[in-house]
Amino acid sequence: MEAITLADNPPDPAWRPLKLPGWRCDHLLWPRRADGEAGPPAATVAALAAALGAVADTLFLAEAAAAPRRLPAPWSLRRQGAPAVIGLVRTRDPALIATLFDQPGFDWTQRGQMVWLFPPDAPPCADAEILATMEEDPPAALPAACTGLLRPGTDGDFAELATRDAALRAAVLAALSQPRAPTPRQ
Amino acid sequence: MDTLVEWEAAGAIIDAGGEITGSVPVGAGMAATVRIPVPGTNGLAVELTPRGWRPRGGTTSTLFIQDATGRRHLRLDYGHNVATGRVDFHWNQKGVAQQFGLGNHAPAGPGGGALYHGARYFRHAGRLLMVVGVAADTYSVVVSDRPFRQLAIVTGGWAGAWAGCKLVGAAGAAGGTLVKPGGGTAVGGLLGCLVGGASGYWAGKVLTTEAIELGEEVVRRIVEEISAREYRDNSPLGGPRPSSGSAVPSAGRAQ
Repeated sequence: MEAITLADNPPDPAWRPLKLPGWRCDHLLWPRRADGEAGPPAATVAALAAALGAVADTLFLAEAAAAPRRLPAPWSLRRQGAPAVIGLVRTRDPALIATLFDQPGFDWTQRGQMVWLFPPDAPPCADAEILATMEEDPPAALPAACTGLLRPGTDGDFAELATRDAALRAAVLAALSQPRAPTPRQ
Repeated sequence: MDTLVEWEAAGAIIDAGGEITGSVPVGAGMAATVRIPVPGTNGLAVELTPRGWRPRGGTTSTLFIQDATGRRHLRLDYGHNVATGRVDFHWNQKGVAQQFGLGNHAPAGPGGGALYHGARYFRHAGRLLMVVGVAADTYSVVVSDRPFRQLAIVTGGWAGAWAGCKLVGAAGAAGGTLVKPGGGTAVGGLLGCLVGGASGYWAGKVLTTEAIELGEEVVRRIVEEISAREYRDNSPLGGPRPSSGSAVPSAGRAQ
């Protein structure tokens, strides 16, 4: 099986996809890890990180201590297990992007991660827009400048790629089909 | 033991002294809320809620053996299983395969469903019983004719419950792991915490009461001694009181 394959439908029939006007959802599938561990295999992480970094600015949730940007979590997110301060990382570096799959406090395999995609020249989005995305499941609102969203699927066994920009979708899919970049540090 | 509440119509939770006892609700509440350590696992603990952020849809798991961030975990889940292609009860694990010998998406087996539902009900019931315990102890303090004393006693009880849960729960988790890693770990930990929490609560209250009464006895004896000395010093048979700062022996002073 390839590191990543594309599917119109998710493997979990009970999956609730993003439903926002103008957005299209695809599902990225990958083989299970041979070592019995949860999460995507290293080759999948490398391919996905390289593809995302090649086509967009990637913003993801991270441990606040090491994150360049931090925002206080409201009580509504604290009740959902968020720490008092949420860290955010915005980058195009594949090595950094790869770390989103193993962030303390934002576990990919328990659907505790979210990845926003922005055009390279987009300005930083407001904290309120980030927090609004996290309030509902699936999200009921996304930042105005956001053109793509990657969400972990059930048990982190697949990913939902939502895009409202056809060019971004094509670019991501094309990048995924390219020869894989060297495995990034994790 | 002081009788704090005359509550003749109450049931089994009233002890012989008439005081509302909170051992059972406190023990159950502790098991539902406290992290129960699993010895020899580098920081894993049994819990009934996940660690880390999860979206509003929440988690489909009800039982967790996890570290403080949730990064390493074993959790009992129900839902679509990519390994079997079915909806079933299964274990999901990350970073703890060596401790429990379970791969990700391993089916939970015949007892998995009972354990899954039992954990969920226990979480809700335990928290409710915790509230009952807090309310009962708060009431006992409010109606007590010696509220600070009673506050100290119930605080000792809760401290004992916490310590008992941690110690006996850890022992239970270790024992349960020997029987059946994963499910046995959780069951042993929860039952151990329940027993340890209830008995620790009782022991904490008893020890605190004993310590308070010992302290009161010491104070009483000191006061009595001081009073006795003042009486001797001021008694007509003992002669005039010596001037301040000097001890002047007086002829004929009774000893």
